[in-house]
Amino acid sequence: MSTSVAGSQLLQAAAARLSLVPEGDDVTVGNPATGTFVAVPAVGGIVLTALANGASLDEASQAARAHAGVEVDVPDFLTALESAGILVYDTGGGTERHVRWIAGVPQRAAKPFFGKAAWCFYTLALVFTGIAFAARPALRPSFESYMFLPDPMIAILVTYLFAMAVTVLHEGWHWLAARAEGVPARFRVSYRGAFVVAETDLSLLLTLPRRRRFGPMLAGPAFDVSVLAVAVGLRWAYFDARAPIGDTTARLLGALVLATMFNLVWQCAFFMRTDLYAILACALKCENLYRVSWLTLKSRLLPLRPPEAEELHAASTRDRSVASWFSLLYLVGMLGVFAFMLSIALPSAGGFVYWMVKNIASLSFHQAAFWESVSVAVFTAAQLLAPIPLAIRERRLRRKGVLA
Amino acid sequence: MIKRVAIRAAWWLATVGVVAALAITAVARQFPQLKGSVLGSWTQAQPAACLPGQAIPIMASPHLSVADLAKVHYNSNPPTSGPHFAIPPAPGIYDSPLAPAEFVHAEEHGHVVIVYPPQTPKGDVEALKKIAKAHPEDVVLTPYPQIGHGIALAAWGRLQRLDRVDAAAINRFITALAGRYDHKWMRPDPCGAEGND
Repeated sequence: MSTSVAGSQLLQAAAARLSLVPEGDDVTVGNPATGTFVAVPAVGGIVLTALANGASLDEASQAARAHAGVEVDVPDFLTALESAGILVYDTGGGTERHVRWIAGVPQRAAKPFFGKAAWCFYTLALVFTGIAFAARPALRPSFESYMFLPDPMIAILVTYLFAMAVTVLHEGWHWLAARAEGVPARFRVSYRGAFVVAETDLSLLLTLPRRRRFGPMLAGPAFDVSVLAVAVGLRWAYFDARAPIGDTTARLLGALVLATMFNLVWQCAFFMRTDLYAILACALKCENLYRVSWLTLKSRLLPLRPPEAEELHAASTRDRSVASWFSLLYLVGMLGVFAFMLSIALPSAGGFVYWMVKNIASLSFHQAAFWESVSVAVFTAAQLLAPIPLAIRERRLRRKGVLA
Repeated sequence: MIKRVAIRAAWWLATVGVVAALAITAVARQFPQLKGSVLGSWTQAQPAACLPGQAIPIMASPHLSVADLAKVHYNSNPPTSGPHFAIPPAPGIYDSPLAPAEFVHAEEHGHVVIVYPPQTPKGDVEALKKIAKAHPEDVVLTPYPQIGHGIALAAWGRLQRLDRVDAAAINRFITALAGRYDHKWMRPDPCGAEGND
């Protein structure tokens, strides 16, 4: 349905469903149902606010003229919003994209985890962990900590599950913090470089003023730091014979420290879409810095396809300005990932996979170790190969315009 | 137009140059380790008579499958080098026995392995645990049915047998030998030329 034929009530109802957040001279307009957001000039916010308050198209146009001092083409503006998937008319025909929201935790139940006292706790946890690592180097994580069980295959399997659990809980804390701010959030599995990751879609945070977005963005690392502090504290007490925990539990805590530290360090890789990236993009007042940086970088190396050139041209001035230098950091970061893969990940994986193949080839079906090896091989293959179908899926969704 | 092509070519050259440099450096640095992981690694012995325990010749030390474990014959009991699993155990205290193919890998990473027979009195085991907790980064403590009595202290290419728990001797062994080897000899031994028999 186009704006020109949309009835007044339909238009007012569609405008009332939008979120409007002032951002300097602009207003971020979003449709929480489709998770689509765009920055428009302040006069656009005046038009939409008027419509949402029950004004007719003419009245909204008058309000816009009064604000801007010149005639504003309001129908053209609304048509552009419609094309961008922001302004969606509810005709009862199910035109809105179906989005399954994770809900279930009321805002009041989530709030105590992100109040002032909670943030003091997270800060103290960070300080304590730093002091513990400085005072007792043995508490620092070591990659050997993963192999905390006598059976290496079981240790690897448990370790995989462990790392996955830490990641899911990290993302769950982002989600809980978003709930505390009254914003629903989505959870999905994606890839970063060659790594499979779970992530919470925090795009709806754009419905909040900028300063209120930092809490949900920092929530994941805050969770990691809390787990780290508890695990490190217990291990410290165990080494000094002051905690009644078993030897296996102490080694398991070592694996937990390693998994959590890995998660924390990973989130600092700002050149990928990690937590630190989200915080930087928010602080730099960017809307889609990652995509614009990628297009900027690609344009330096290859000719862009026409839709890409158009997309880059349509990006906000702010995004393009920041992307001019952020794309260099992106390139350096990705080269660092390439170096890490070549010098550490691939040699380790090479030796490990060779060992796994030898195990599977030399053991019989009747041996538990055979099935343990097969399970580890399946997990490893999933880790290494899952990014390929995920990348294809994301590219397909991006071309369809479903994914930003 | 020509300027744009020239700028793009410069970006290409810079990016491809850095990628190639990283690839060459990584392959050159990691090839020995990769080769060692797949085919096995060999190290020259470093006897160092002044250090605690006795020097044991270094065996070829390839990675071993679980099925091959039964076919392996080490040159000492407990082993101080030789074929091992691809995965090293975390340092710490184990209540059930680790396979030799596991703890040899810990020795290859510079850790000291302390083994005792399962029938060791509880008080002695507690004393060993106390020592292991004092060196949490350096020690793997595990029961080991293959030694009949006493305890054994093993590091890469080095072994000391004790009839009973001797905290001073164990601490001396750990201090002198932990971190001495980690896929290569990590430091010169303090024995002088004549001490290296």
